[in-house]
Amino acid sequence: MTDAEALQSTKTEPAGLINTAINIIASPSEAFSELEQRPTKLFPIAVILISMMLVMFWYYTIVDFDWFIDDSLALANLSEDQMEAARDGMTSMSQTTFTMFGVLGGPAAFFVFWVIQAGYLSLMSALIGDRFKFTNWFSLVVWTALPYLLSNVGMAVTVALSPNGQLSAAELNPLTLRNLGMEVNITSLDALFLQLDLTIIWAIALTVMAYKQWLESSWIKACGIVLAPYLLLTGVWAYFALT
Amino acid sequence: MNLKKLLVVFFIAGTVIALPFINRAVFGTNAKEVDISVVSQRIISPSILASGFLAHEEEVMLSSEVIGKVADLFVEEGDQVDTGDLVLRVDDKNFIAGFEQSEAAVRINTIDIERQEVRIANLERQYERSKSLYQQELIGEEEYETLLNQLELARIDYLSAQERLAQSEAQLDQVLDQLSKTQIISPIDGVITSLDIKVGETAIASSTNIPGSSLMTIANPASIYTEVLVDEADIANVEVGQRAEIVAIAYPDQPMRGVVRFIANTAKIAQGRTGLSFVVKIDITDPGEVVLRPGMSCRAEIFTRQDQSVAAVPIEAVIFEEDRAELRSEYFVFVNDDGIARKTKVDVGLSDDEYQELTSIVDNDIEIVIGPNQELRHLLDGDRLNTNLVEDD
Repeated sequence: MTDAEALQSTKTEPAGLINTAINIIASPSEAFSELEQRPTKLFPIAVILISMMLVMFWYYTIVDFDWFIDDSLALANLSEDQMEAARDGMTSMSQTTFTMFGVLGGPAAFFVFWVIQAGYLSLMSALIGDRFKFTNWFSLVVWTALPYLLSNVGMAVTVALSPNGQLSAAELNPLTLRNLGMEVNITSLDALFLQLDLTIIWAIALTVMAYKQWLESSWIKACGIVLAPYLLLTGVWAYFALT
Repeated sequence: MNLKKLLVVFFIAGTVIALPFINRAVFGTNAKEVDISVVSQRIISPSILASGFLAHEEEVMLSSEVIGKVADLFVEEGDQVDTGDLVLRVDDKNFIAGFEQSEAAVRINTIDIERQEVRIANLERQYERSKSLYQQELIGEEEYETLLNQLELARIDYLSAQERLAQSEAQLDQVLDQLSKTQIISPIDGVITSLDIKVGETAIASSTNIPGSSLMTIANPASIYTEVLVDEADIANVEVGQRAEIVAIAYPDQPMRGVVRFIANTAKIAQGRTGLSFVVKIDITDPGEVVLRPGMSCRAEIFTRQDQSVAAVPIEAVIFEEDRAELRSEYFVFVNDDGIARKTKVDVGLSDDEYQELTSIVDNDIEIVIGPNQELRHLLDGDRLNTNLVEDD
């Protein structure tokens, strides 16, 4: 049986986008089968990015701007002179400019990350010779990122609970490893825990599962191919952080 | 849609939504780490600040009144000299030659006078004889008058010779004066603080600031004082006799004591400043371990009023807020109310660079947030506090 025949034989009735979204959370294998047949993309992109933009807009609207600048600089671990120079630079920008960067920067970074991830997986497909193209992988990575919606929800609740606008960007997302209690004294590791949240790990795990399911490969191969860029990045980071 | 799946999604979403609530309930909002201090009686020394430099009161800059090469230099920079000491000699060969020439002129003119005196004496005798002969009508009137005329001319020549002598004597005095100016003498007791010329260089008689016009500077080290520029807004508080603390830039940790001695009558716009300021001279009464050098930059704190014991807090604890639209300005402090920051309006009185008097909160033992600045500037009414009591030194 060819790949095309195999695909035709396994085609199912189209599920709604909401259904796929629920399956991504509650029954990923069903969602992956659906995505294998219909690689939709717009819905998860729109939901994740628009919710992210709304939350960031809300955050930058309520945050105490002067306090935010000092707090951001305190996290940057700068010398006093560098701190003054950075403060001058930041205060020269208006809160609107900051809001614009905050609202557009995060979603833009996510989108670029997805494109790179899908590009990498389609390159691996081309090398291995399987049937999946960029469009399939891009659809997969944007759908597997859907759990990030939960981070946006968590951030929205955190913003809503902030009594006075003095809410640190580091404390915004309740699902980061650091905010879940993983605080360490090693600065570089602490910075990693600050950025890494459960939904990102969840999304990576979903991608591994989908890869295994789509290519009917072993767990080791799926993990090896999907996690290779992350392991490479982590290795480079660890080298610089620990040396 | 499978109910079980929906339940899973709702459970996860619910957990995420609950997390910030749980976090808040368990840990509360982050308490801010702040330093606190109690309101207590503190000594306040109202003062004003001014900057300036150290200078010598007795200081002379020597320059030459004659032009000539420096033949001898008898001092080096840093040497102690007394009044009347010869410190420098300008080459005087030309001046000595001029002196000898003038001396010879005096002598020639003296001899000329002697000659005129002899001539007059001779003519007087001839005149007496001719007068007698003329009265006896032994000689004619013309011969008598010729002799009389010669005598009067000789007397005029004598007067002329006397004037020439006076002229040559004056020239001699002038040359002597020039000669004496080749010897540069110290006019004061002091130390050579600056030596601007070397042997072989040409000393120039000039008041302009060109090389050679200034020979050296002599200053009395005991007469060093501080000259500061006090802003015109502060000058009304400054009086002669007030205590001052002077800090030389080179010795930032060694304040010197001083007393205001002089306040200028006229304000001037000092170089590098836009506003008017007054020169104030401060005598240094106790330099401590500081090695005083004129020209040193310094900062002076002039204590304008007597020390006063008042209810005060560290000055950084007092927050000034201004609403220009409503023309309103107010002072606040944050009072520690059992771990909660309470923004409290206060009235303020005297202040110095350490403490601010509070006139509206005079109860001792009230705890006021005093820092750190990074926390204080963002502190809000109702914020939770983790306090660290800072004791006074």
